[in-house]
Amino acid sequence: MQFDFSLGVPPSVPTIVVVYDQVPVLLGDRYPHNYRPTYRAARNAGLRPHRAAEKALGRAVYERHLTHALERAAHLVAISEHTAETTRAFADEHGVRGVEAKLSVARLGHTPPSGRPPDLNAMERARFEALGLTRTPFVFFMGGSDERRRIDLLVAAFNDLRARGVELKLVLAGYDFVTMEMVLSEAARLALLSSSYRHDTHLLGFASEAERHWLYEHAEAFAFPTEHEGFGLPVVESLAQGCTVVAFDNTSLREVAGPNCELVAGTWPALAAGIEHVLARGEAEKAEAGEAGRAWAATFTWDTIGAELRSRLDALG
Amino acid sequence: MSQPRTRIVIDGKPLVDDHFSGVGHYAMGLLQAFDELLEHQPDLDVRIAVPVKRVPKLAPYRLRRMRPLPIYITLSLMRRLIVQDRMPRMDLVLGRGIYVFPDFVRWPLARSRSITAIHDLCFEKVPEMVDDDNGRFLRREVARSAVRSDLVTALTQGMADEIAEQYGIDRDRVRVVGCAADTRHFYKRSEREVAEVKERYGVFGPYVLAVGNVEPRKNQARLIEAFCGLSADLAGELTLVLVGAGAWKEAEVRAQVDRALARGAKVKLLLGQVTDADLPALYSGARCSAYVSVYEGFGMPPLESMACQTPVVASNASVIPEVVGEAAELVDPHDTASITAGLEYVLRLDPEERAAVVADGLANVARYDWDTAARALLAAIRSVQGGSR
Repeated sequence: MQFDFSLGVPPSVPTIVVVYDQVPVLLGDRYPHNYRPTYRAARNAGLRPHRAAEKALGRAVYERHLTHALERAAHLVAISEHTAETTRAFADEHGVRGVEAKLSVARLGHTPPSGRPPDLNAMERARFEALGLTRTPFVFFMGGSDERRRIDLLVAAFNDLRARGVELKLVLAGYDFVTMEMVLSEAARLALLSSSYRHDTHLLGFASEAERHWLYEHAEAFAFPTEHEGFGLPVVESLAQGCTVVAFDNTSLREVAGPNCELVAGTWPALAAGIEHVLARGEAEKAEAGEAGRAWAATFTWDTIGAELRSRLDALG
Repeated sequence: MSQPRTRIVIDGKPLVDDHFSGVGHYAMGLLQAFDELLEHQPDLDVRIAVPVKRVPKLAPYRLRRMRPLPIYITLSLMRRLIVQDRMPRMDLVLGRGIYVFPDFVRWPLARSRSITAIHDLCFEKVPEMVDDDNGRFLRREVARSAVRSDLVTALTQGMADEIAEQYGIDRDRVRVVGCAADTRHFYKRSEREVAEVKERYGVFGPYVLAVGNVEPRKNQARLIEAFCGLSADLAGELTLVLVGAGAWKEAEVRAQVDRALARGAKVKLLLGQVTDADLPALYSGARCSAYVSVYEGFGMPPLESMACQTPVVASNASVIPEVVGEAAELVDPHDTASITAGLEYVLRLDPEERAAVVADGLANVARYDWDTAARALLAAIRSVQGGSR
């Protein structure tokens, strides 16, 4: 269903392609090290000619695959209005005709946690207590450290808040956040290592299901400072757990964000102001927003895209 | 078919010079913000011209949309050609376009348009405070650059007025392309970091900080004298910490430091020792900072100090009042008693008053940002676009 998978399917077999995003080409020139840039952008970023050529070739192959998938698909399902827009733009740029007629939008769903959420084990609880997360308010981010996730701006916002005397900790979870030295994104790594408040920044690495649940439950906010998303499932996950989201106001995040979300301009001062605003809420306001966020997240069910795919399959006979 | 692109050539010398000066910081902040704007300016082909051996030094700036344009001479030869007024018409070599010079001096050009940044006129206004050779060179070159450039840029309105008046050029030809303190770097540092940095530089107890190149224009000698004049209770507990690179006649300041030490005052001169990385912690730990220059084109240290939440005593000379706004205690840099009084006032602020001054300082810092400056540069480029000389 993802477009690369359509390769090798005999031409006589109709396909339905679910389009998630075009991040590798859309952000290729902005972040040449992470994604698929043009040759010129790769060279400008200091890549050697053979590496730049390799990247540019990767981009050409990606574009070819996507073009092919769009051309041969009987139907296209974009996971957000924004992804539909970028798909149309890609099709126009690459001369793919007929996309508009076969493109529909069906948003992804979220699987709510079933049963009683798991408790922290003794080790996990001791770790959170030792880090002071049980006593001090904190904001957290969970995910990868690729460059579009602007962890450097989140750290700058955190520095600003701490410098202004706000009592707060910053928690980063995910495979990429084991130690500051090991963070892959150079900008994020430098920001973390040079932060004057790095002693109040905690990298948790992989978080278990129980830890994730605890973090969502106790965090003041889930920060999601990303420059581009095809959908933004982490936002829905956070809302479903009653945790406030502070995210950048861009791409598909505008569609998935609802109540209990603070969308801010893509700068660190705006991010700091957003977090500060969230911290200033009273308990009642916080609880009310949490409930509204949960209700909004509950509207994201897999039935939506399931029904869309079913109807498209039925149409194909 | 894609539309033809206008070539913009930026003199990248301040970015790759051995001494990363104030102009280097200015060029870095401005060009990094300008680089972001270029994402939506596909018709501009922006190149940074630097001597070929210095091209690798551009990589750390991460300018993604500007390509290096190598010049096949060394930096020292380039410097000599400029000083000896034997620089060839560079656009015949590097191509026609719009040339941007961020460091006072415009290269000779045959058929291209140009924008030159003039940061101050100290070589005209206070020539006795500028090294003779450098002053002579700047008087000749800057006057020529101001007249021949299509546009001149200045850091403040006050300086723009001064430049137009000094060189008799139309005020419309002088644009303000400001600058800003890097608030991602200059923010109030944690007590832990401040303690570490103080220990590393041998600074003990409360202190007053003065940051700036050590040279007569920065007026360090009079500041030391004023510091020695503080009341006994303040003088007894405080150290005056002077931070900066030696620029010109630093021996005079050294001698003044020795005299102050002999009188029992605590003065510490950190000449060329403090790295950029440690500066915010030094600002953050200071009781106040002092910036008593007799002449400036802008004056970044007061803004940096305010960003680190440290109150400022600043000179009332040239454009400094415009830069610091209402957020600093202004003093007469030619009057030792005035400087002493300013220091006394700020050092005796009670916590509430100090918090108000700090808040004013942060609000003042927020008036300046690199994005606004980069947009002003882009507007300047657009206004000279569309023809050649």
